[in-house]
Amino acid sequence: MWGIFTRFLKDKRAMTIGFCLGALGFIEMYVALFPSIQKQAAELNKMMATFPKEFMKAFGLDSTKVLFSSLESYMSTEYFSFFWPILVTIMAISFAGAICVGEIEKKTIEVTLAQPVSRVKILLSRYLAGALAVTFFTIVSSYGILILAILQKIDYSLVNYSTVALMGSLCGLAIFTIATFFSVLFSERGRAIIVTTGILLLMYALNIISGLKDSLVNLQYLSFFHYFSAPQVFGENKIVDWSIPVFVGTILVFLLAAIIRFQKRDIAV
Amino acid sequence: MSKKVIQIKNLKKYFGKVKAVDGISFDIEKGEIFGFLGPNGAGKTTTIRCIMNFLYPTSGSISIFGKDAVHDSVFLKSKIGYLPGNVSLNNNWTGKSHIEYIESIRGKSQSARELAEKFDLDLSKKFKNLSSGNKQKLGLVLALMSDPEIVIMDEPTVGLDPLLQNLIYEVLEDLRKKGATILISSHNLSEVERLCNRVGIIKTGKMVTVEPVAKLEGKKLHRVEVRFSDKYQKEEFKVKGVDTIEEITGGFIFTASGDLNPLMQKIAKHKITDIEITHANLEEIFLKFYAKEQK
Repeated sequence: MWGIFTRFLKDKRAMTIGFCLGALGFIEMYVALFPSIQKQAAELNKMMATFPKEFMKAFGLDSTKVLFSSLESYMSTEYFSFFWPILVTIMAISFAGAICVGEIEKKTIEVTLAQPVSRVKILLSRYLAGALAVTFFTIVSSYGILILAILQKIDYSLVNYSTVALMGSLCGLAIFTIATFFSVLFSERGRAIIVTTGILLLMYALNIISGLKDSLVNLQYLSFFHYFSAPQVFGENKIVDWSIPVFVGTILVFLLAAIIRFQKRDIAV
Repeated sequence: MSKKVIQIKNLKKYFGKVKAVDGISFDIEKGEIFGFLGPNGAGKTTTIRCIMNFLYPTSGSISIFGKDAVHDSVFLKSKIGYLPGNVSLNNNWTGKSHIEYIESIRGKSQSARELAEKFDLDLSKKFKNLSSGNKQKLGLVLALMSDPEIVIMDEPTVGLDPLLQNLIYEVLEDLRKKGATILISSHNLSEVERLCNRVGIIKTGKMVTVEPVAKLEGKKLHRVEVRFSDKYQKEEFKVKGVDTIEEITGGFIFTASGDLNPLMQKIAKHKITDIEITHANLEEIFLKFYAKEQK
């Protein structure tokens, strides 16, 4: 099991480092811009106040609160509400694809299946390695901001970084686990990617739609982007109600479903 | 104690309405090389994948060393070396990485490096940079590096040059001498003739026959080439046991199974200028089993 775990990590090492460096590049760009943005915060807030209330709500922004008042508030909007979800989704789908469906397409899975190790161990070894990489990426994304803030002598609130690292990791792991399930469900990588991406886009859309009309507000509970609301989690250091049970529950349910499916399915390359 | 190492009983594997394997049964005894013959789509690879527990049988049973191939697959795989058809390994790994990966699961191998040396295989090259022959060699090293008691190979020599084919034959012969039990699927009839003790022929998911190679070659089919100096009609030779009649200048080539006497009696009624009776080779036997399907 350890051999499969370390091999998976080794195979994904370059990609993980690439994602982390890419994220740090974005973060540095945003953090470097923050002092000048902060100076214009009053003008920006005035401009934002002219936007429709529903529009602001749709993107998780509270028009009654001052935007960009802190680095965390600024980065929650600029990075954790937009770039980070895209990066973590790409990473999660890519790594999950390598667990099963990618190996079926590349016809390499038989080498591992022919070894004296159970399918459950094969799946869990790769899943845990991928989960570690996704978590590492989220931690780098979170504390990377902190390190750059310290280097550039920008004020910060330490506890917010721990909160966003925790909630970001749980959200990333939930996405990764769903992607893992579809990786073991299908035999074509394209289908696994389309279905996982479709579900996440639907969640993103539901979160926006729920903010447009009061009658649709309950749709937000079907979206991860409600539970990982970056302005609240990072900007205000708040954990959204039910977010931990929803993410942990999603991880457990989809992981169990993936194990059962991988154990029972025919694997022909 | 039974000498039967692999026992397959009424194995069926359906994919929806497609009956890939439809009730085949055969045994493989300890120390023998069993050849599994059939064209593409006959069910050879599906059967092998069921033995390896990559596919779950629709019904029937596979027993290896008396243990169930589904429930005891982890234990059984520690006894099996498997070479898939058209070896596909990780393009970006070197041969050494592949060996280390298998070692991380099965434990340190004493023979992996020896095998690589014997095959003249450069383990430092990435899989994608290896020739097809060297890819097959690496697949063989991985299959044999844990000194398996059972070796299962799906078309091990397909696409290889004769030198490498011979090398694989030598390896298989060595394994047999050491007491390993070997199942190979193949299209290559001459290699089956050369290597195998017994052969099973599978056709559209059903086992047509399981015979010792010698029996199959020697008893089942004769090739009779005869030329006459008098007049003859093709119809008069359509007697019991004659499977095919091919017209040649001044006579015929018959393939006949079973009792030759009815045909010989018909031939004896004519003035014969030349006659040659030989045992049919495996290729002709193979074609005979598929004649109906081809029609």
